[in-house]
Amino acid sequence: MKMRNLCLVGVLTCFIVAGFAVDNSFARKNACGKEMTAQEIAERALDVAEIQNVMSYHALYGAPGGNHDTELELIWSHKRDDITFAGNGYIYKGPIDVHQNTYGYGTGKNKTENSQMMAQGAAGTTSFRTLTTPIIVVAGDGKTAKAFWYTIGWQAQIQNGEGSAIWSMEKYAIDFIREDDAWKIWHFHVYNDWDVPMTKDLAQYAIEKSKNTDQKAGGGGMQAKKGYEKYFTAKTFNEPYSVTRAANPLKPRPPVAYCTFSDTFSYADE
Amino acid sequence: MSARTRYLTIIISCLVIVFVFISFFMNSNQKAAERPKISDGEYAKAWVQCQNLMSSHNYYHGVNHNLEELAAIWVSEDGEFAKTATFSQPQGVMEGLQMIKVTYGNNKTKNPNQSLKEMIKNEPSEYPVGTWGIHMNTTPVIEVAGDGKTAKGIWFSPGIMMNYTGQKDKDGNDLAGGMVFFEKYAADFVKEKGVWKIWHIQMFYDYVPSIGDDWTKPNAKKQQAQAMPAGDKKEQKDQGAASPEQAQDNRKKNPIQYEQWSPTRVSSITPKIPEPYYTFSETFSY
Repeated sequence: MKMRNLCLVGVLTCFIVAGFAVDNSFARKNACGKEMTAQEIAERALDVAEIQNVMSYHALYGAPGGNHDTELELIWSHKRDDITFAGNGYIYKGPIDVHQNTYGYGTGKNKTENSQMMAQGAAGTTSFRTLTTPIIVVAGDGKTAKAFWYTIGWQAQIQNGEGSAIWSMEKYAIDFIREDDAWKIWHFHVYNDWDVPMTKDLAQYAIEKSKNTDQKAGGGGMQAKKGYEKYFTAKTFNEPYSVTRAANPLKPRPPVAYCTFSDTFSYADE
Repeated sequence: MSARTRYLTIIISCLVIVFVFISFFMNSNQKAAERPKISDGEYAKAWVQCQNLMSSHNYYHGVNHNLEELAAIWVSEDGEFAKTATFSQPQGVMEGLQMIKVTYGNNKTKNPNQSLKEMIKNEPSEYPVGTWGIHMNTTPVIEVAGDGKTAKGIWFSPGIMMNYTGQKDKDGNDLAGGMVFFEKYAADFVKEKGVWKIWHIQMFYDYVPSIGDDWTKPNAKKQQAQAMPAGDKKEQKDQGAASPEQAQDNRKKNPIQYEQWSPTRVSSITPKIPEPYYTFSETFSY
């Protein structure tokens, strides 16, 4: 009887220990250190899919044939007053209205008359930015997310019977924010790696450019749209490929796991 | 007293009418809300699986294992979706898995009545030496139906296909030819017996110049660009198989005549971007 009790206690102890072990092996903690439920893990996976869709919407609506106004309406934040749009050498920072009048076709009396034509692009225009190599990190609190893509792009246009076409290699680094139960673009930053005419050798082209002292690197020389100067800052965020640039700088930084946005860096500042 | 009763009757009648209206509209809204939707986890898993299916298509097709692709990731040839499966290109629509099997799968088959399994065993896929192809999947937009039975996706796909021309230069070096592809893929997926499968695929060629072409003169190559990839064309002619033209005879005309890029083309959003939907009958088909 004593032996039987001993065995029973042993078996129960094994079950309890095994229970802890199984529980621990299954547990996933978020970046806030909180153990996630199965539902929360599913939501994070869904967030990643939704963020990829949002960015692909940008690629489609941002290209000729799409519509920047539709893009701003559908997938950009409308509640923040610190929404940013930045390139190699500049940044616009302000509420959505600023971007509707700089990236978009204008609002109210500033509405561009030929916005439909601007959206379609002139005949013979083609341009696209593919999205590859995604890294998408959702905050532990689920309120923001950071993501990175490498984009292989191209564009061609024809004006007055003359054509020009380029390859365009860029990185996108974006902060997203959860607004009205959907993911929205908050900080948009594009880092141009290099543009080269389709008929040119990249290295030879860089050598040619290095001899031209008038060439300004990295979008330098970009100026604010009239009336939007106070939202604009000229700043060199990134230097494109050149004869002097270091090999493949890891810039911008790829996203890393974080709990809440104040714990990480902002792509508005990178 | 009689007047009081009358007023009371009117008020009660009004209340009944209001109650009936409210009940009716509440029921409609409740019914809409009650349509069972898949969970967040199921949605995310379906999204990833559809992305994997599309990438699998390009891995199989990149080495010309089209029959293996059909057997592995397309709707079953004897299943409920076999007859409505489609593979669409600008040059025509292959409708039904049987036609896809003998046109995209193996248009040189000696026996079109073989099952996919038999075709793979009896007439194994191979690419001529010196052929290489890749179609990338980038920029995905994937929407899974609320009922979890279907999904839709689009991708932008830059790609390249090289082949050996059979010719040599004056120094005796083998010469290669090839094509560059800029195209969009649009696909419908369906869950068949619990597994996600490709149901409809459509290709929208944006620009398909041959290697070495002057890209600023696309019209000079327009006809060639719309035909089968160079590697496929050559192989069919070499082996006396059905020509692409013969294969095309079996296809339906594609109602979507997507115009390739040219100096006069105006850009458009084609194909349509998938939008959230509940069930397939409430959205468009690719």
